[in-house]
Amino acid sequence: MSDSKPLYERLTRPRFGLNGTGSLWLGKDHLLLVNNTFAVERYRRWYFSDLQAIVMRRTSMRLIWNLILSALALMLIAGAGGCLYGSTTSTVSDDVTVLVVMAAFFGLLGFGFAAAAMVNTAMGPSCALYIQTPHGLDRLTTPIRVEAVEKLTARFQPPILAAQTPGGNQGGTLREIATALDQPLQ
Amino acid sequence: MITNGAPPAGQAMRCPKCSLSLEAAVFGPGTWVECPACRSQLSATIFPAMMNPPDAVTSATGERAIEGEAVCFFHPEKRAAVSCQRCGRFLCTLCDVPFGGKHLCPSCLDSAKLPELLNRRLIWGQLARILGVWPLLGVLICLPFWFMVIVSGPAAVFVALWGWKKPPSLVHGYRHGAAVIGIIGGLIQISMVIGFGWFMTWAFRQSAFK
Repeated sequence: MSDSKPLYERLTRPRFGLNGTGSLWLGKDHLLLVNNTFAVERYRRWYFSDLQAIVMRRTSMRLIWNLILSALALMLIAGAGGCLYGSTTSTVSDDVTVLVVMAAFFGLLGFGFAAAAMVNTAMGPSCALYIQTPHGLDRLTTPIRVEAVEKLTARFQPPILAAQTPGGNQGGTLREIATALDQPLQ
Repeated sequence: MITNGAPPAGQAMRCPKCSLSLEAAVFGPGTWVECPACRSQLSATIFPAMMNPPDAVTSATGERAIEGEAVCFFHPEKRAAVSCQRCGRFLCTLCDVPFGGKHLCPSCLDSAKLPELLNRRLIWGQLARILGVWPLLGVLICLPFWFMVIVSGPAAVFVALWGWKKPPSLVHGYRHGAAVIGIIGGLIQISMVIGFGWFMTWAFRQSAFK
């Protein structure tokens, strides 16, 4: 049962999308994107020797989610305030109880959305991630935060550099790489 | 920043949003560059492969061997260039298939069913879990779903046992837990069907004897 030993190291957690989940894995000599749809796994590989660049593009997803969550939070908190105000002015005791319960419910939900907006802000700017190979740009569905992408890149940069340069130099800018490879920059 | 006309070979980057050609030299880790066309904020980590684009595909036919030289297993008249890293056969440049940093012969590539060549795989344990659990949840949410369990229960047990030794997920390895959950869910569904059938028979008899 030699197949039972996993060949890959997980790089990202599964991210849910419309077509199932997607996660990124680190193999011996390649990156593997696994899309899982209803018990069928689809595999996409990028060999280290082919990877030319990891490209990030900033997106507005954080802003959009913050607007949605803040709007919901504001509406619910305003609703809770209205219920509280109604309970202070109402003279029927049953109505007061119902309004207080509703205020508590709306308030909790509203603060929940506000907390989600704060978490979304704290997670940092959102981005789309692409891999450039000689065949073009491929978009990765995961991860979507700049900080997570930077951590991820730092994790798989050493094996890529090791695969592409004999010494595994610490390249970064094209000029540094050109100097290390002793090639003229075109 | 923008290259005019054809970008220099091997050093071209394209904006992922608008496909404008950009000079790769301006990018670096932690540096954000604005695409002049679509104003996208871009950052890139460049690897040495950008400087060394792959060689163009050649129509190599292999050099003719002279007497005493190692020859290709498949073409005895051609000089051997490498050996297959799976079966050890000598190969000429025509028969050498570079694959994931290895050199393989066409027959190994064809017969080995290498995990590196796999594009998709059905995960039987996961399918059994879906068949075992989802219909139960369906019954909980909406009672009319009960008729599904007549089929899905036995199917969950069958799929779990059928796929027990089938090749597992490439990344997770064997996960028999999912198959076990599928079997348990399937057995619950089968017992529901049997219980319902028994109840209907009992109710029919009760009404018939009255």
